[in-house]
Formats: sequence, C-alpha cells, structure tokens
Amino acid sequence: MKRVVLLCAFALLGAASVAGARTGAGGPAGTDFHAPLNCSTKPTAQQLLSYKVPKAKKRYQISLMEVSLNGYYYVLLAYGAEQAAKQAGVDLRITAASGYTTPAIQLQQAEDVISKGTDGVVFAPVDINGSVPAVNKFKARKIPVVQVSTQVNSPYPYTVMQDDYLMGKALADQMHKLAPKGGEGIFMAGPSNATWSRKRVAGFEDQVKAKYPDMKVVDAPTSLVDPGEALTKLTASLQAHPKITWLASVDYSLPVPQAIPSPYNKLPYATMGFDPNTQKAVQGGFVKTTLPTDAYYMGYLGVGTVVGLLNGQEEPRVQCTPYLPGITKANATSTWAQKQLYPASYKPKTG
Amino acid sequence: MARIDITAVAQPVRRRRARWSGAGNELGLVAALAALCLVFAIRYPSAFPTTSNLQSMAQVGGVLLAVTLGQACALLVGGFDLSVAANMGFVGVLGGDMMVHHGLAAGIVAGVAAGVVIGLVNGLLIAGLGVSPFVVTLGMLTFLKAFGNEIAHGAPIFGFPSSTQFLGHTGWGPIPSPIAIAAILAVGMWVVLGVLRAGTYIYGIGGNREACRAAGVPVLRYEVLAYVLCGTLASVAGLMELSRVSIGYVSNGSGDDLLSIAAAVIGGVAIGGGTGSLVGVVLGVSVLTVLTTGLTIAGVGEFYQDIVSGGVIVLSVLVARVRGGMFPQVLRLRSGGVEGVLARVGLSTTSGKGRR
Repeated sequence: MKRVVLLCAFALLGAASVAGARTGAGGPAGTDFHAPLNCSTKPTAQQLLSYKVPKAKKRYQISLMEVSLNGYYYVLLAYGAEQAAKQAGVDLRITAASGYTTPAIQLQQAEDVISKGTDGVVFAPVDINGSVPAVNKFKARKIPVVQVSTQVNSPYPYTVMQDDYLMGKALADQMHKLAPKGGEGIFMAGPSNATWSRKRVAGFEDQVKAKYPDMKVVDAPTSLVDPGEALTKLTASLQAHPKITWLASVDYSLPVPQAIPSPYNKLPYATMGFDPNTQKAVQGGFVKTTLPTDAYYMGYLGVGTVVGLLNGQEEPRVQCTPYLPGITKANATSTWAQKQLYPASYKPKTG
Repeated sequence: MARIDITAVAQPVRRRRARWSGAGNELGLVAALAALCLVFAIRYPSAFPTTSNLQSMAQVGGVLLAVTLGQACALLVGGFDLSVAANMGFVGVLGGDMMVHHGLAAGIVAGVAAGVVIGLVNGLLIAGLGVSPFVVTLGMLTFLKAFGNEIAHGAPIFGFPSSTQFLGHTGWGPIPSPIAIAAILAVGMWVVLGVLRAGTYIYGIGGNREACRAAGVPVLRYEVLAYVLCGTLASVAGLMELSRVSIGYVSNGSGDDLLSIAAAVIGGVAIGGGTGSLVGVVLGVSVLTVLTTGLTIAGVGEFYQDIVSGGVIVLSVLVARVRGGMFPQVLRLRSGGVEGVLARVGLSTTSGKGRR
C-alpha cells in the first residue's frame, strides 16, 4: 500500500512538476495585452538621471515587497530602493516572496509588514489578481502603495512601471534597423502566463504587422525565466526554422547570448534588460541592442514617490519609465547603462 | 540473532543486476521511442531527422541522463533525492565562481566536492538517522538555493575560461560534450552497479533492507554511498549545465529534480527500490528528450506540452504497474473480483494476505 501511495504521489508530482514548474506572473482573462499603459508621465532617460528623491519630513518606515531576490533584476530594484531611502532619510525594510504565483506568501508578508509597522509600501506584485488581497490590507489601513515592475488589478496603488507593450513595439523598430531586409526570425517569449512577457510579445508582433511586412515572426517559444530551458527551446525551434535572419527575446537571459549556437550567434540579436553579462555580450557583439528595464529606477522612483505622498505632495498616478535609448556597443558603458547595474559587492538587507 | 543466508538475498539481486547490465527486456520502451521518432520524422522531415537536431537533443539529453543516473541510485535503495536540481544550481554558482577566479580545474574540483558533501549529508541523515528522504532532500533543496543566492548575491556568475565550453557547450570532435560525459558516467555506473559488490548491496537494500541487515550487509555504508553517487552525478550535471547555458545561476537545472525521477521511473526503476536497468534509464531519458524536442519543433504550446509530458509520466507508471501484474488481474475480474485487482495494486481495504 505504501509503495502504491508513493507511486501515485510521484506520478502526480511528476505531472505537476512538468506542468507547474513553468509558470510565471498571472495573465488573466480580460487583460488587454495589446494596449499601452495609461501613463501620467513619461520621464526621459535624461530626466531620470537628474531626478532626486524628496527629503522626508520625518523618518518614515518604508517597506519594499519584492517578488524574489533570486535574480539580477530584483536585486537591482532593491539597490535602487536602498539608494533612495538613504537620500530621503527614511528606513527601508525589504521582504521577498518566493517568485511569481506565490500570493499566499506575499499576503502573509503584507500582514507581517503591517504588524511591524509601516508608513508606505513599494510593492512588486507576484500575481495580477492574487496580490489584490495584499493591496487591500494596506488600503484598509490607508497605507500608500506604489506598485512597481508588473501590474496588480487594483486602482488603489500608484504605479512606476515600464510600458511592456510599447517596449515590444520599440524592440520591433530596433530589430528592423538591425535587419533592414527583414526576413524570418524567432522571438523568444517568457512564461506563457506572464503579463509582462505577453505584452512585450503582443507589442512586437503588432508593430511587425503594422510597419514591417517584410519581417515575419515564425516562432515565439515560451519558457520560464530559465536560461537552460530557453536554450533548449531555441535550439529545437532552430531545427524547424533553420533559415532565420534575426533573433529577438523578451529578456536578456532567454537565452544567455553567449550560449546561442553557431552560426546563429552571428545573427542580429535584440533583447530587453541588462546585467553585467549582457553588458559583456553587447561589447562582444553577441547582442546588438538591448532595451533597459530600469529596475534601479523602479526602486528609486518607487521609494521617492512613497516619500512624496507621505510628505503630502501630489504624485503622478502612473509613471512610465523610459526604455530608450537602447544600449548598444557605442553606449554600453555610458552613465545610462551604468544605472542599470549595481556594485558587485552589493547585497540586499532583508528582514 | 539468526543470520539469514546471503544467497537468499542475492538470488533476486542477481536477476536485478542482470537487468542493470542491459540484458533485460526494454522492448516496450524501444518501441515507444521508435514510434515517437517515426511520427516526428514523418511529420517534420526537414527538422526532426537531422544531424543538427540529433546533436541538439544529445546536448539536452546528456545533462538529464547524468542527473537521472544519480537519481536512479537513490531510487534503487528505496529513496529519492529532491535536491538534485538545487545541487545543479548551487554547483553552477560555486563551481562557476571558482572557475572565474581560479580556473577550470579548481571549478570542477570544487563543484564535484560540493556534490559529494551534499550526497554525504543527505545519505547520513536518511540512512544514519532514519529521517525521511522527502524531508531531508527538501530541506537540502531549500538550503542550497538560499546558500547559492547568498554566494552569488542573487546575480548570475559569468566570464568562464573558454575551456569550460568542453563541459557542455561544444563537442568532443563530432560528439556533443554532454552526451560524451554522460556516456562515461553511464559506463562508470554500469561498473559500480553491475560489476562491483556495491551494486549487489545497493539493489539488495532496495529489495529487502532487513534481510540485507540480517545477512551482515553494511546497509548504512551502502545506502550512504547511493546518495553520495546521486549528489556527485548531480554536481557533474550542474557543471555540464553551467557550460551549456554559459552562465552559473541558482536556477540552473530547475525542473530536473522531478524530471530525473520521471525519466528513471519511465525507464523502469522502481519507486521503493530494488529494480532498475541502465538501458531503461537511458531509454527513459531518451523518450522524454525526444518528446519535448518533437513537441517544440511541432510548435505545440507550452501548456499542451506540459499536459502531454505529464500524461506520459503517469501513463508510464501505470504501464509499469501493468507489467508488474495488474493487467492479468483486470482480465480475470470475474474470477478475482474488483477486490482482487485492488489488492494486486495495493489499494485493497483488506490486506492481500488476508484474502483466501
């Protein structure tokens, strides 16, 4: 009996692993993936570089609730928030859930944050709908919330975010500049049900249809934000589409540029996001252009906005971070590019 | 205490060891694999039956084979290891960091040593202290992920020496390096489990732990050895994956924990221990690799791929049960009744021994 129970458990676990290990942020019915954000302001890169967080009127207790701290993007976001907290003169407490689709953990953390005492929250939702109860907890106590990174289905929070749909469109423009004759190409997508990925794919495909009839997306394989899985999917897709003339992806690690098999690593490749390895890949010519995702400014601007609200200032409801100029070999070490990185010795302080 | 004659234990073990030597009947899996290849080759003649696709599948399958060979050891002694994927990610970070700062050899030594230690700790806690494999390896999984992130500060490790590519990115001549390394590991495993006395004991422990103990077999030592082999092979797979994806990341190998169990079970390794074959493990890995590659070439959506893969895993377990004797009972429903079938698969409300 014990053996059969074990057997059944493993069969279910096996099925669940293959099915469940590949999920991402929620992409619910009713979300319009083909629409840009309704931005109140769209600061340029230059405006962001000169932005300073407001000084706090008193030493507020601010909480940063991250999706995870496993990944360059999330750590950079925390770094930006810490820098802002120092400059504003506030205390920052960082918590992290266990990745996307872990709303129960995030809800528990929201309760913990409230019980420890917080004046304002910078909130990265783990799920567009699953994170709503956590937001409602803050709303009930009139604690200001600024959502960053990805959306939550609630009108309560202020927003600091990249416009994924327009980023997808901009990437198509960049791709066509790199492959002016067009041709067939593969666009590596992120998790199937991740809002950010689906919006970027939608933007890219819409722009190709509208402006570049000579370009064709022959495949858009989805994968977790997992370089290994993405590489496996890409190599399989290349078997079916060996004559592609360009390559693009929604994220710099899907796959890692240096891992793209020869001769396809010579094709023009454009992506989104930035980290030290991507900087090296840009400098080495593996990546021609990458559109930054501004994780630093999500944290920095997020804390700045919360402090502004607590000071009694009016803040824009939706601030859209810039994705241009794209980072190329020419500006791979520019101030703008350096703002997409954190010092190698940095480690976020949680708890 | 009366000692049990070792031959009584060794008799079934000899039969099982013969299976590990590849003498067993794996025709069903070969047929399934051939059918899958045929379907994909006919449907996608320009994409599937090509040298480049074979090389691509060998790269992916090589890494999975390495980790599955180790997982099979843990399964053979009646346990399992949920920490193999975390082990791969941790070794990707630790070994990768050592490679960047001290060279390839230091990275390999550090990575493999980490795998040995991980396996040793798992083995001692499970076999020595009697803690459940689920609890121990789940704890190890959590620990390794956190420790890996602590070392890497949540960031990827990159900038390896170019020689690292021979571990999983480029070929050894015409042979993709992951499959070459996996083949060496498979030969090593054949020697350990099919030739050496350790293999007899590992099978024996999975088949009948108490009988082995009574026969004087040092159960603790060989059960620990099985977990050390599992941890070590997972660490080698971690180094291969690091090279394949050109980055050391805690998430490297994610999903391979349960995929390795699935591949081993598809290949006929019994959950509960005592039975399994090298040929079966290779075939199990091959079936999963061909299936996932073929579905991707076919452009099947991610969710449908998961549904199909999950279905294959469950089906394989059921087929294994049928091969184990459930099927004849189903045919004899009228004579044995439903209770007979349930008893045969171990789901009876009354013990099978209690039936007349």
